[in-house]
Formats: sequence, C-alpha cells, structure tokens
Amino acid sequence: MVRFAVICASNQNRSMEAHNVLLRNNFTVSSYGTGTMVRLPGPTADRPNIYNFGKPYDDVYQELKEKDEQLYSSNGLLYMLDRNRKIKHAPEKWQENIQEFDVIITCEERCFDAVCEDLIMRGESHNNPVHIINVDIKDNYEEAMVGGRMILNLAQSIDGAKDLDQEIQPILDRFQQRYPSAPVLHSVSFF
Amino acid sequence: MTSRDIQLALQEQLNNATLATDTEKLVQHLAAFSRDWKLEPSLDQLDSALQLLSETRQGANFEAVALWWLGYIQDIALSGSIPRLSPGLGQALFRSADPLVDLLQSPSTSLVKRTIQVCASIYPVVFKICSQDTPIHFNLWNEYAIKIKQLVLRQFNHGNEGVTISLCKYVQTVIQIQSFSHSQSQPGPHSLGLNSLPQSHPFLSINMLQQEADRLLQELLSTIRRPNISSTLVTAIVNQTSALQRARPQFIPSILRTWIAFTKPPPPHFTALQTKFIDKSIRIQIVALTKMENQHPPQIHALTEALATYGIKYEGKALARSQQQQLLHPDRDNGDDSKKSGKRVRPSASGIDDAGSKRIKSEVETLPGNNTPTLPPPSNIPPGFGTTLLGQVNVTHLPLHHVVDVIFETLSANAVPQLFHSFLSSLQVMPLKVGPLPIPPPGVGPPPPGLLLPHPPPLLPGMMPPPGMFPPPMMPGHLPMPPPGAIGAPGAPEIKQEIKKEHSLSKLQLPTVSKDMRVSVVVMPPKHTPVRLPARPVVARTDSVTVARKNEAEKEPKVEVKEEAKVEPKLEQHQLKMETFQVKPFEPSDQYPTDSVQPLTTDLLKETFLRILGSEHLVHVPAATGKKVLESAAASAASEESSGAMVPFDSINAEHETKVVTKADWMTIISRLLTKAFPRNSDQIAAEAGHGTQHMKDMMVNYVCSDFRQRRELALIWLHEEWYYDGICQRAGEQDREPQYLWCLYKILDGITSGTNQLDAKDKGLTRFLLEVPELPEGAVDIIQKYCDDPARAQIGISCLRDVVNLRPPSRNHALDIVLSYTTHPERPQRNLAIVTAKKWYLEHPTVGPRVEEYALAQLDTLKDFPIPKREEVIQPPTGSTDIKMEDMDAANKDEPMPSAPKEPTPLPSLGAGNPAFAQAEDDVGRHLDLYLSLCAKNHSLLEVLFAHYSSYDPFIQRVIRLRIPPLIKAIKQDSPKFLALIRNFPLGAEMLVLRIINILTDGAMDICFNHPEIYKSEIIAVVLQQLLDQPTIPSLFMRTVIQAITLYKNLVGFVNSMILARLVAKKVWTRPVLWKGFVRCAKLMQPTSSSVLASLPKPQLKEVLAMDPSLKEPVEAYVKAKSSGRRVGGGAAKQVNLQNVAATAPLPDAPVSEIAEGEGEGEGERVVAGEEVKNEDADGDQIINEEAQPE
Repeated sequence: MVRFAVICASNQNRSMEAHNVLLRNNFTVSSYGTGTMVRLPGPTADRPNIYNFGKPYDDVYQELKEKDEQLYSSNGLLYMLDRNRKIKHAPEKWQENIQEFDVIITCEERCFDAVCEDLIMRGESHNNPVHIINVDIKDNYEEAMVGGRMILNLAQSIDGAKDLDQEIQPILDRFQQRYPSAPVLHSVSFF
Repeated sequence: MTSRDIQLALQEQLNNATLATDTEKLVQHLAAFSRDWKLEPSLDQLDSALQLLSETRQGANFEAVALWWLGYIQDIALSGSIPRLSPGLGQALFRSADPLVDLLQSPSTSLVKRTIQVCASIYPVVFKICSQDTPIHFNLWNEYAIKIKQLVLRQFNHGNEGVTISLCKYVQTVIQIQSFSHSQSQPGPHSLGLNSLPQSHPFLSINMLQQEADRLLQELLSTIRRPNISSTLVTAIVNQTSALQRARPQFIPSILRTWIAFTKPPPPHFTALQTKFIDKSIRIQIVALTKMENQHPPQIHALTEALATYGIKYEGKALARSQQQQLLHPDRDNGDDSKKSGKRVRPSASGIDDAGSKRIKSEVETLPGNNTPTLPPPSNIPPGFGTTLLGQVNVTHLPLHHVVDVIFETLSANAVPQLFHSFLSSLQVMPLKVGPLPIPPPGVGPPPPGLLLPHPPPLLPGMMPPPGMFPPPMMPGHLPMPPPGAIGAPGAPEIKQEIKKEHSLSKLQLPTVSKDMRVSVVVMPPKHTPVRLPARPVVARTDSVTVARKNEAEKEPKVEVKEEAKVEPKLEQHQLKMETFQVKPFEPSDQYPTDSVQPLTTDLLKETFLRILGSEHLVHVPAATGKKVLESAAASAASEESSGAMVPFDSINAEHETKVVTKADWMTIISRLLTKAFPRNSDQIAAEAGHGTQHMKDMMVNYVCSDFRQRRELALIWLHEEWYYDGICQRAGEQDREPQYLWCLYKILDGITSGTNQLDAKDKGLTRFLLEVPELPEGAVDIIQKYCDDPARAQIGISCLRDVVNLRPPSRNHALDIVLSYTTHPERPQRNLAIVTAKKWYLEHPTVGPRVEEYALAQLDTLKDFPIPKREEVIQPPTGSTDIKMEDMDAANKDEPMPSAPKEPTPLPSLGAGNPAFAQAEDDVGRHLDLYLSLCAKNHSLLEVLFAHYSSYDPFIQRVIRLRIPPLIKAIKQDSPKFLALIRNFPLGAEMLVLRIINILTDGAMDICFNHPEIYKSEIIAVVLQQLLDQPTIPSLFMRTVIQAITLYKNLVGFVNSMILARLVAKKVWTRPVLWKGFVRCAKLMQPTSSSVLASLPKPQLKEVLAMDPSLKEPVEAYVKAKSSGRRVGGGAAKQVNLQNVAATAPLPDAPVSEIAEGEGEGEGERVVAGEEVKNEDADGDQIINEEAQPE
C-alpha cells in the first residue's frame, strides 16, 4: 500500500481537498501544510484570520461562524472548514511530522521546495526513499477541486505501478500530457 | 498498558501472525506489531521474529513477512531507545546478518531494494559498536562492513532503478561514516565519523576506511555520467549528496562543482521536463547549503562560485529572501520593473539603424589592422605613450561619427606638411602592415572638398626632385627619393625580378597569342628616371607587360593548370598569400613611340585588357570577395604557404620562376591599365561612337554594375586609381587630359541605382561604396535620392545618407539637407524613416543635432502662413463623428501601449471623406509638425516654442496641432518638471492647447493607479471598487474600471464576481444602460466564473444578456445543469451568493480562499493593458473634446 502525503501551505483548501478525494478512494493518505501559520481570509484583505497549526478545524469553524456567519458562509469558508473537520482533527505542519511516506504530493512549488529542503535538513539518515511530486494548483475552491481530481488520477497511476521507481517517469509524462496546465516537478529524496 | 502488557501483546501479535491463514490477516497482525513495538522498543521479540522469518521462508507469504522483518530490523537500528553500545544490540545485529545476506540475494527486486536500505541504516550502528577499542566485534564488522558491503556494491550494475537509488544511498552512508566529521558539521547523528575511531584500533584502519570512502565518492559521482541515466536517479543522488555535504562540508567544493557542471549543459537524453527536475533539485541543494553555519573559506568559495552561475552574489551567509526566490523560482518576475511596466528597453530608435551600424562596426573590427594592440609595442615608442587621458579612451567604444569628426577636425587644424611629417615618422615607429591596396597618400590627389589647403604642400626634407620637375608620376610624392648613387644608369635598371619559387603551381591560363609573336607595349611615356623601389613594395607596377611566346614548350603548363584547377576549390580555405610582384619596369628609350604604331598598340592594349578582365574566374576565390580577399591576403602575408592562382609571367623561366597573382593583384592590374591606358577623351569617344564601339571605361562600368556586389571592391580600387591619377595629371599640368574620376563615379552610381541590377533593400554595399570612394561630390549624393523616393528602397537610401552624414563630413551638409527634406515627405514610410534618423542626431550629434532642431523650428514657422482651404468651399458633413486616426508619427514611441487613446470625436465641420481639400491640408500641416513633435519627445522644453506661437496660428492649424499632440503628451507623461512648468505658465492664447494636454494627462485617473501596481495593489483596487459601488449613484464608467482591474489583476476575478457583479445584480444594474453594457462585457471576460452570477439574474435580464452575447449561453446552461445535479460547482463564494440569491453586504476579499501566500504577492506577474474592450467604455466623458465638437 503506497503511503501518500498531500501538502499545501495551510493544510486547509488544496491539500484537504486532495486528502478528501484520496480518502474517499481508499488511499492511505495524510495531509500537511508547510507554512508557518494557517491563514484564512478575513473581513478585508488586510485582516486575515491567522491560526496556529494544530488548532482544530471545528474550533475555527465555530469561531468564524460566531464572528460573521453570513460573510463566512458566502465566501465558502464555513463550507470548507466543515469538510475539513469531517476528515481530520486539525491542520498539521509538515515540519513537525515524523511519519514516513512513499509519495509526497505538493500543491505549490514553494511547498515542494520546503519539503525537499526539510528532508535535506533532517539528514536523510533513515535511508528510506520518497518520491516528491509537485502539482501546481491555484489557491481557490475551483482549482482545488480540479486539482483534487488531478491528484487522484496521479495517485491511481502510482498505486497501479508494479515498481514505482521504474515507472515514475512514464507516469509523470502521461500526467503532464493529460494536464499540461499543471506543471509538475519530481524529485527523489530520503527520510 | 504497562511495559509487560506491551511485550505480551507483541508476542501475541507474532503468534497470531504465525497462525494467520491469509496474507491480509498476516499483514494486519504484523503492522499492529510494528506499531506497538514503537511504544516500547526492545530486542525481546527478535528471536520470535527471526523464527517467523525462517518458518515462512518457503511459503507464499515470505515477501510480506520479509518486508515486515526488514522494517523491524531497521526500526531497531534507528531506535534511539536501544542503547547503541549495549551488548544485546551487537548480538542481535550479528544474528540478523545471515538473513540479510540471504535477502540480498533474493530474486525479488523489492526485497533486494529494501534490504539495501536497511543495511544502510544498520551500517552506522555497526560502525559505532565496532569503533570501541575491543577486538570482540571483529565478526560483526566482518559481516556488515565486508561481506554485506561487498554484496551490496555488487549490485552497482543492477538494472533496477529502485535498487540503484537505494544502493547509492548506502554508498553515501558509508562515505559519510568513513570520513571525518568537522567542527562545522551539523551536530547530531551525522557527527558519527572517523573522529570516533581510536588510532590504535585493533582491526580498523582510519586510512583504509578513508581511502575507501574517497573511492566510493568518486564512484557515486561518476554514476551520474552513465549513459541514459534517469532523472529520477539523478535527483536521488543530488539529494543524497545534499545531506552528505551538510554532514561533511569538506566535500562541498568537489560535489557542488560536479553538479554545477552537470547541468551546463545537461546530458542530451533528458527531456526538458527532466532537466527541470534535476535543475530544481540542485537549486534546492544550494539553498540548503547556504543555510549552514560556520562555513570555511573553501566551502564559501565553492558556494560563491556556484551561486555566481545563477547570477547571485553570496556573502557567506544564508541567502536573503529575494535571492532565495531568485534561485528557486527563476521563471517568476522578481520585481523586475521593466517587465511590470510593460516597456522594453529600446536600444535605439530603430532596429534597422542598429543593424546597419553594427555591421559596419563589426566589419571595421575584423580588419586585420585592428589586431595591432596585441602586438608588442615598438621599442622606440616613448614610455608613457598612450597613458595620457586620450590614450585611456577606448576609441572603439565611441560612436563612429564622433571618431570621424575628431579625425577631420585634427586634419583641418594641422597643416598638411606637418601631417605628412608625422605620417612619415610614424611609419618608422609603427609596425608596417603589408597591404595590397595602394592607398594614395593624402595631398597627391585633388584635395577633398571639405579640406582646405592654405598652401601647396612644400617639399619635405629628403625629397629631392630635380629642379622644375615633379616627381615621376608613379612615385608617390611624399616618398623620399633615394640618394643619387643608388640610382642605376638609365637603360640599365638595377631592379632584379624578385620572384620566389612556389611549391604549388596553379597557373593562369594565358590567352592564346599567335605563334612567335613578340610585342612590347609602352604604357607610359618614359619621362622618368627609374629609381630603386622603396624597401617595402607598396605599389605593384605594371609599367610594362611582356607577352612572350617562342615555342610549344609551354603546352606543358597548360596540362598542369587543369590538374591544379581541381585542387583549387579545396584550397579555398587557405588564405591567399599576399605577394606584390615586381615586373621588370619599363625600359626607357630615347624615342617616343611614333604615331604609326598607335592604332596597333591601342588595339593590343584593348585585347590585353579584355583578356585580363576575362580571367576573373581564375583569381576568384569563392566565398571570399572584395575586402575579404584583401584581408585574407594581408593576413597571410607572413605565411609562406600559398594557394593563389599563379601566372608564369616570364614564360622562358616559367618552370622555375613564377609569380602568384592574387585577386588583389588582378584588381590592381585592371585598374592601373584602365586608368592609364585608356584615357577618355571627348574626341575619341565621338570617334568611337562613329564606329559603334564602346569605350573601355564604359565597358568597365557595365562590367562592374552587372555584378556590383562581387565587383564593388574592383570599382573602388579603380575609382581610387582614377582619382589619384587625375590629381597627378592636374599637378603635372596636363591640360589635354580630361578628368576621369567624376565621370566614372557618376556612371557607376547611375548604373547601380537604375536599371535591372538594382540592389536589394538590405544590401549595405552601396553605403560602403559611398563611404569608401575617394571623393563624394554633391551630385553623387543626389543620386542616392533615387532610392529614397522608392518606398521599397527608402530604407537603404535613408540609411545610406545617414552614414554619409555620420562618416563623411565633407559631404555632410548636402546629405543632411536631403534627409531633412524627407522629414516632411508626403509619403509616411519615407517621412518616418527620415524622422527617426534625424531624431537620433538630435541632442546627440554636436553639429548635426542643432541643424535638425533648426529645420524642425523652421517647419513650425512655415505653419504661420500656411495656405488653408477656405471654409466656404467645404460642404457640411452629415452628423456623426468621424474617426480621425491618431497618427503615431514617432516610430520610437510606437510600441508604447495606449490603452485608451482618447479619440477625438470632434469632427471639424470640414473633415471627412467628403472634404479632400481639408483632409489634404490637415495632412500637409501634420507632416510639417511631425519632426518637431518627435524632437519634443526628446527635449520637452522645445514645446515652449509651440506654446508661444500657438495663438498666431490659424484655428485650423491649432486644431491639427491638438489632434497630433496626444502621442507626444503620453510619451512625456507627467514626470517632466520642464513640461509641468510649461503648462503652469502657458502663454496667453494657448488655453485650448493646454486644456487638451491636461485632458490627455488626466485621461482616466484610474490609468495612473493601474500604472503603479506597486502602490495600487489589488487589495487597494478592490477596496476602491467596493467604495465606488457604495456610492448613492454608481459612476457611469465604473464597469470600465472594473474591467481594467480584472485585466490587470487576474486574482480579482473571484472578488469581482462575488462582491461586485453579484451586488450589481441586487442593485438592478440593468436599469443603467451604460453600466449594464459593461456588466455583460465584464461577465463575458470572467467566464466561466461569472456563470453563477449570470444564472442568478432575473429571467428577462438573463434573456437579454444571452441575446446580447449568445456565446454566454453554453457556460450558463452548464452551470445550471451542474447545480441542479447537486454537484458542487463554481466558486464557493459565487455559489453561495447564487444559492441565497442575495448579495453579501460585508466587504470581503476574494478567492485565495485559504492559504494567503506568505509574503509573496501573487497574481501580479502579468499586466495586460486593457485593450479595445475598455476603450469602448469611453463613450461618455471627455468634456473638452465635446466642447470642441461644436461647429466653429
């Protein structure tokens, strides 16, 4: 069973959408964020809602609902948080995780950079290889949803591979052909 | 659970696993074991685990059990809870060695791969245990570091990708363990290294371990050079070496250099995508390395070097955020202003312009003479020469026309004799360059028109002409005469034929001359005393040509010719050897040739000339013509090898003594012969015309013009010769000889500028020809005008004139006049070309620039009493506006985006198709303005003149000025203090003009905002839009601003959809026609996001929208369908609005729904200036223009 991790910046929208999709399709999946804080839109652009990783989705849901239910339901935040709290307890920060995975899928180039760099910093002393793949997804509901489908497609190809190390290149080539608008990156690193 | 409970539970899991009937159950139990084991790691279950492994060995579940067991052993090795040095651990590992050896030899690649990974994790533990100064662990070391290591390394050529990846990781671990950990290594588990090994270790040798590590590192790094290596493996090795370098900084220089070299260029078998993967890994590696602390100089140096290849300066500490961005995201716009503002840096006013000057420059640079700086300076140059201020100026970096001007100024400021003197003395100092082209020394030809010669050149010391006699015509006047003693007695010339033996003989086919014919041709009257030739033979002499033929013996050379001819093309690469040949000079006789021999002589001369002319193909070197031939000849002068065509001039000794004839020689022969042997006299021409024959020089002109490109050089040499000889004759007082040079020049120019053999538009040959002819009279410049009048060739004509202005100061004024006259040319292409050319001089050329301004102002002045068609003649046009095309008179500004160029919807009553007289007059006024306005763009204060004179113009003229001024004002923008001062204190009468300018400047205050995205960020625009929407009356142009906003900031689409469009629906936008039109346009731009809002429109309005734009039907339908099927479609915000069918009231930013990028502004990358769509929104507004629309 391939162990997947899906990673975005705040572990709220893109990675959680992918987490949701993969979970529904019975994949072994975890999700993380690489940012320093969890940031959600606020009443104005310069007043975002900022939380620590680890603050439960449900807590944030209740808090925002209390603040301005109409606002946060009209911009879709409550819907998103509601989905998230049904998947897992709280957003998790990648850098604090000790679990190992076979495949890590990031949703943004700088998350890819952060994961690769973090693994180098850890020292790679466990010698267990991991494929890190970036699929660029813009941070909005629509693109996250489309991105979730793309990641599902990728995960299915990966899961179907007999020998992933051998087959990853053709899988990525096919993926890139199918979704030319989502530029991919790939690297093999180690835990 | 207590510790005991855990142990019991673990044992239970193993028992269950043993009893499990199906694989799924087995795997579940084993997974549970692994999970629980981590709660309290111990070695207690090792025996049971090993037993389970051996029991299932032959079974179907072996692979699953083996993988589990490997994980279990790896967990033991990595667990921090089991003391590294406990005797139990050593024992446990020793007992696991055998199963590991078995697994390494398993047929299953996934098992082999996993085993290697586990062995890599065990290796440091084994090293740690064995590093103790006791001999009891020898067996453990033997198992892991010798037996297993050998088995692992044997897999180096395993074809499986995963096995190789794991093996490389194993190798990296071994390298890291068997090398010294330095003080700057990161502390922690990575610090385990050779340092922990005592020197007196019973069985481990530090040296041998280190040597093995070095060897393995070489092997690891050479892996990446394998043919067809995959990018997967390469990125894996990059990442391994990233960790290795951080743990062992001493490896940074060698490893980092390997990577930097690897991608430059990457191996060819990688696709672009794979190259990107590798490049990215390397960039991340560098970032990780720069974050290390306490780096040592070698590492800092290596990093500095590596970062420099990415254009980043390394200071020895972690990179700044911007540098990190630059390294990791090279494709992104990292605040480059030139990109943001949508402007590109213009290298010059016109591309054509540039190409031309570059080409001339580069050709100049390739001249062999320019290589002289590489030569050692001659010893007699005084020390310090060239170190003065002037000496430090690199002349090659100055604009060419400046250099030309300086040269001319110097020439005219110095008396000619002094120049000669300097020239002569420099001849001794400078290394002499051998050049084939005899360049007439200054002063011997007619003086160029721009150069004033106050006195006739006095004789220099060393010049000893006989009293009352000029030096012999062939002798350049400045050359010192040899002492009398050196001169041989008349009739017995001392000159020996300096003929060198040549090894490869490619012989020129001689013309067939009747047998035993012997002809002596007299070319020059023997007035002179033969003198010794100068030591450096500058001038090839052909005073006398002897064609001798005595017997049939020279049939042999003919055979040779054929053979050589075949070889010749191969030798074309070789450069021709430059040779001057010195033919036996004319032997003076006491008698002048008598008239009786004249006709025969002339005929023979003609025949000879034609034959020589016809032998061009023999000296022709393919792909090397004109100047190149001369250059190559000069370049190879020093080399002894020769591959030129050879002519056995002395047929008697042809076998031994032959002479090389290069193309340069051939051209010289032709020119000399033609110039001197065929004087062109009017009488003679008349006589020839009578015979229906053509004069030789006419023939030559035709010959040159029939292939000007190939024969330009010949023409130049000939013209130099003619000019030179004209000068000699003029001085000699030969009144009966008509000057030939001008006639030849005009004939050639006529020939190439008219007729069928015209040059194509890009040929620079004409320009070069004009720049190189010895004298350029005004009439010749006029001939170029032919080109300027032809639209297809105007470019070449104008650039030709430009080069003449720049590089031939004596002809400057006349050429400039022509160029300036074209700045008001009725035809736009010519006019634009001329304006661009003139504008380039303005403020840059010290002498030409002011003349350009003078001309432009004079044109402006003519407008004061410009003939205007009388208004009565004009018929009132029907109502409705006529678009007057804004003419972009300034080519330099034509790529300035003009998003919303205000149309002048102000039809002067007289303008339009029905009023040709006015249209024509407007055009005429316009072309007199064009140059002036384009100069104003360069010098804003020049506008003052227009302001001052404005009131004195006819209203019609004033109007044309207002029509023509917008592009200029847009180019100036509002950042010019001079310009602003001018508007502030405008003179009386210029009110309308100033109003118009202010109107242009303020056209759409939002434009200014959109031009400064660094200040007016998308958030600010969003807030502004919100506030505008909250106004009691929404401004009419609101939608235009919205469209501009979303065009500039794509990320505002979501916001505009949910917060603007949705609210506009609530505000019944369809009741305001202008807004409604904009709404639909905006919704179309925002497809498919806007489908939700469109679907929320009331039915009649939705119908209206779909009628206005049927293309919207499909997305809206799709949206409604999707919605009704219960799927979550469209954006959350939009969807919510739609579902509730009410507009949200709270202001809210848009889409980056959750994760607002940290510190990075996104979506600001591209900036597209709103195009036509926006322009049309402009329908209302522009009060001033409307005022003007009133009939005057």
